[in-house]
Amino acid sequence: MENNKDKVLEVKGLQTYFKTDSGVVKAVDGVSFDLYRGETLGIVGESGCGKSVTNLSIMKLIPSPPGKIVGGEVIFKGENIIALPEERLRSIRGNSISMIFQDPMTSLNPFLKISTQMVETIVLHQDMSKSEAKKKAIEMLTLVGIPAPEKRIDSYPHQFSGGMRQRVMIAMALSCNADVLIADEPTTALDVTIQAQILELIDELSKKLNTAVIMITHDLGVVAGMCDKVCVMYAGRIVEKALTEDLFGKPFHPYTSGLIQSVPRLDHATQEKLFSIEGQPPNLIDLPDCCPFHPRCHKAMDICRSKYPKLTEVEPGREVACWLYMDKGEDK
Amino acid sequence: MTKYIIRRLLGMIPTLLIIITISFFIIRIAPGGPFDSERSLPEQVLQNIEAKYHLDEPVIVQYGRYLFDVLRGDLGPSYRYQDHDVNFYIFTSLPNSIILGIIALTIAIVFGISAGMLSAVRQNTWVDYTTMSFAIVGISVPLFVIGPVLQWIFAMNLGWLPTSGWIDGDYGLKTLILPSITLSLGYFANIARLMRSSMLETLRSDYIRTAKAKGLKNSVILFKHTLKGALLPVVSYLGPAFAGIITGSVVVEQIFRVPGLGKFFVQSSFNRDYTLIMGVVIVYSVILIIMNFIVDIIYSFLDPRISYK
Amino acid sequence: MAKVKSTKETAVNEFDQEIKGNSLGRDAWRRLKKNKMAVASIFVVVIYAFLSIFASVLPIYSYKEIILDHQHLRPSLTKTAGELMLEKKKKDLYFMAYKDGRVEIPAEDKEALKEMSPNQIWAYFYEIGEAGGIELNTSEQRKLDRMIEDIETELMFDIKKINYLSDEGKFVNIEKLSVGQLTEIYSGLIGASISDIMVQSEKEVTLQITNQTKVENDGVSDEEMARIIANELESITTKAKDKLLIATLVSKIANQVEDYAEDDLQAVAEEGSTSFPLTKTVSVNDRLEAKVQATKMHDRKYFFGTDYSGRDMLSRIIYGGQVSIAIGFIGTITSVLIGIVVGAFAGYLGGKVDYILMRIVDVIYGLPYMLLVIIMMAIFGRNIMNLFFALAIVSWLTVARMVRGQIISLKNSEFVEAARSMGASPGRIIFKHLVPNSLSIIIVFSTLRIPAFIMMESFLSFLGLGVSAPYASWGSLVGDAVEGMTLYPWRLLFPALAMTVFLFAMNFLGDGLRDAFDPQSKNQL
Repeated sequence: MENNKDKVLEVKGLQTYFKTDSGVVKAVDGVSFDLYRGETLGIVGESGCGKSVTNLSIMKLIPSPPGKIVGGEVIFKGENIIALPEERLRSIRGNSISMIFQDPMTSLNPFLKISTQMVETIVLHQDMSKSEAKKKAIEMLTLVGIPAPEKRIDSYPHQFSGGMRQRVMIAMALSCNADVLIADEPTTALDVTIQAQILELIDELSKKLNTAVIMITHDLGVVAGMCDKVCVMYAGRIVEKALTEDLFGKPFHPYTSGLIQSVPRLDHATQEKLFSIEGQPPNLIDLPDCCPFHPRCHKAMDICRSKYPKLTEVEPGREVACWLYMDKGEDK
Repeated sequence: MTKYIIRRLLGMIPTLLIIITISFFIIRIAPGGPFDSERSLPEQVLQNIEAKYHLDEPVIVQYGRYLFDVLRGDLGPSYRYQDHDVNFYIFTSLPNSIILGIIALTIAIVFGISAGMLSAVRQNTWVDYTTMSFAIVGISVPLFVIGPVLQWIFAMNLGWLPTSGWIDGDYGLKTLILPSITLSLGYFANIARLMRSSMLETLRSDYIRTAKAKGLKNSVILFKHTLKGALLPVVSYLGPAFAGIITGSVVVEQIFRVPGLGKFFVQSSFNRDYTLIMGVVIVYSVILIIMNFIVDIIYSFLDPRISYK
Repeated sequence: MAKVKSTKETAVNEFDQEIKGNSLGRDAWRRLKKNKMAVASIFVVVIYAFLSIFASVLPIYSYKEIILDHQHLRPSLTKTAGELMLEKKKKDLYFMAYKDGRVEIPAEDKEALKEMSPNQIWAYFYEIGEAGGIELNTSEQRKLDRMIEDIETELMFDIKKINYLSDEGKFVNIEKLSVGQLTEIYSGLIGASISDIMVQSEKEVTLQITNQTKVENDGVSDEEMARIIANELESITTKAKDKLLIATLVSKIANQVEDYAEDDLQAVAEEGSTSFPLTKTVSVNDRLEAKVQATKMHDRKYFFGTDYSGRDMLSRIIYGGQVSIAIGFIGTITSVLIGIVVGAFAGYLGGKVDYILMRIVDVIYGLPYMLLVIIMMAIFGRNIMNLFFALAIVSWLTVARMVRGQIISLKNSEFVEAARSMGASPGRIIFKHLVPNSLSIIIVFSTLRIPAFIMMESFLSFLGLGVSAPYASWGSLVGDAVEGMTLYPWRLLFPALAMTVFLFAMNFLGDGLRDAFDPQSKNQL
């Protein structure tokens, strides 16, 4: 990538565990990735694979108890967020790193006016008076395409449609010129027609404001359309990391290829039946030291059942955690 | 909004009519009349008494007459007390009951909400455990046990407070303490538990996660973002709480000898003093209906999603 | 290490950590077991249930036996009723002596006395008196001596069985004899003529029927009452009447036997060498003999003290609990059943039915219904059935609302669609599919309803509008105790404690069940 030096966020060996009645759930177990200014990173995987927990951990928003970040670092502008005191953390949240969530229906406070919710964020992080902040909020609403923002800003969330609410969320998230925007399945709860609009909006604004985006999704279509790089997650770990075109062009990990194959495609009319990966993702409690995907894998080998394959760079800029691409003798 | 209020006010009329009708007919179908003990009276005298109170008329005529009188604000003469009519007895004792009720309710709401919030914020700490244990005491121990036990401890053994009496007596405002605490304890406990659970639920909600992600301070999140939503279940509980406090006041007034409406209610029930019973029931119902109405208005102010259409 | 097996099917099942499918009930039970308070509560509830169910066979004194000598005895684990009576009497006498000015006490004590409660004052003088500091005069001493003697010697008799030597030479229980034979025996005992006894017994039975009818028809006018009684007397069968006559005669004979036994055993008691309780066969005459158990009346121990008519508080609390718990359980079940039916139909049928039913619920909800219950109790008479109905009528509302909500949320689910598409009738869908699926919520709710029901019952009993003597409930016991609580605090504290512990347990259990069935909603009301 051309702006290689401008690394805004670095996640190193992040581990987030949840204590439950039946044992410790290793929701995120050693996830690492880098994020560069202006780029869009996609994190894909089935539900429950730890994508959302990863991103809540970046903001240190894991509900604790039961959750706890037990290891790893999140380096943002040279500081480890995990180790920061609460106050410093608050000045980053919503300001340098902001988030938009899956369900716009419940993510906005239904008891407060849109203006109140937007203005409080701006006043908190920017050196502005309330009236200035309101002007800025209206400006942001215009930017995300809310019609008649001067009027609509004094409405309550329930007076907006789902798509409009997500626009408001985006406006709010970007109102402080964030360096990183984490979008946690931002379109899952929306109608298909609205989905495209919202994605386009995020894409356009992030380019305009030079914001790095982490796009969490289970929808490979979203990844293909928006992301520069992709991390594929399975059972709390990253199993493949690649540039988007490489990943779709030639998926390495059997799970990745399974995911890609299971997307219905019109140009593959010969396919009689939709492809699906058999079986269920594993229970994350007491996962044995093996490849967690091996029970569902066509190409599973002996070693897959006894040892976890580390994420290894197999081509420049391309990492995969699979024994198929590794020298088995080396580690044994 | 005005339309909504008017519509709600009109909606109270049928409820009130139903209450009057039910209590009127329950009383009339009951075996035995108010003058049973005077059975030894000569037939003529008894007839005169019955004529005086219109008891010789058909029930439906009595009902119509009563309804008409009530609408004019006249609750009729008492069957037992000859000196004054029902209005007099009710309106001399009502203020005392209202004072007691309002104090008890205020204690329950203010302390209940604060205790519930504290418990939720300090979930699973000793603060939470202590508050919730105290709350379960408040829920489990009936107020007619709490009252005498408090009397026994604070009045008889420690001698700090008077056992009974009212503010116009020797002890003044001190007399209010035990009865109002007794009356409020159960509702304090319910409100505290309700507040805690709704607070915890709100704190887990998506919009609080958004607020945290925006970097807001904990105090702002708590008071600006959480409180309003968490209060809603408590506000809807206030209706039943009012009803409970009215019922409870009957017992508390008995225990602490408060010269309130509850005393008349129990006495007149035993005496079969029809008009006085009905009068008290109507007054209690009107209070309850008005309170429920106020609760609805508060609710609609808190929750912008409620429409007045 | 795992064996080499590369077929897909086995591979899928190779992880031995798949989540086992637990039924909701088993899962809830597992969570409930972890909740220590809930488990302790289950034990408490079981103990209470045991005491209530087996109250009649427990070794406790009768809850309605009145021994006036034992009035207001304080609870004691070690002292017998006799010792407590004596203590009470002495306290009384010592205090009287002080009042008469026969006792000198230090000036500072005199000041202190003004601050003391009556119980403390009595205890103060008792201490002085027992140390020999108070001289009693002769008449007082005589009173005391007589009391000591009575305590030593007064007996209570429990006649177990009276046998009659029949003409065949066999001993028969007199309860099995005919009216004629009994009359004959009784006339032999008291020396009155057989015809007099017949007339007297007939009279007593008539009176008995009359009284019984009066109690059953409380509150009707006099003329009505007379008519009912006449009707009752006329309609009674000879067989039923004979039964009553036999019972009357047997109790008369028993009274006589008791007199004989008393004469016989009193002497033994005064002698002091025999130990009691004593079971003895007393021969009244050559054909009549009785098995009698004699106990010393004042040897009883009252662990929880006694009430104003000398009844044992312990057994009153147990029997009171029986009434309270029974009303709580049966009342809850009734109201929940009504609520389920109304709620299920309203929810499933929807539309106008739903609208009308729910408006009715709303209106009743808006009523101060406890006040209506109070009126109903005051007017229709205080008995357990009325109480029970009055409470059940007003307590189904919440269940109805809750079940309706559940049904509405479930009725459009796939499994109901499936049942409907296969032609199941609405009744079947409601009671086979929808209600069972809401059952856990209903169970949790019912558990929390029981203490509320008990509270309502006790509330009314406290006001004197619920259960009435000789029956008791926790509420009526507390209500009775309020008057004299300065002097007799145990009468308030024990029933209050018994009730509180049970309500605690039920509330904890309800909370525990709710958390177990629905771990998401912690501590909701």
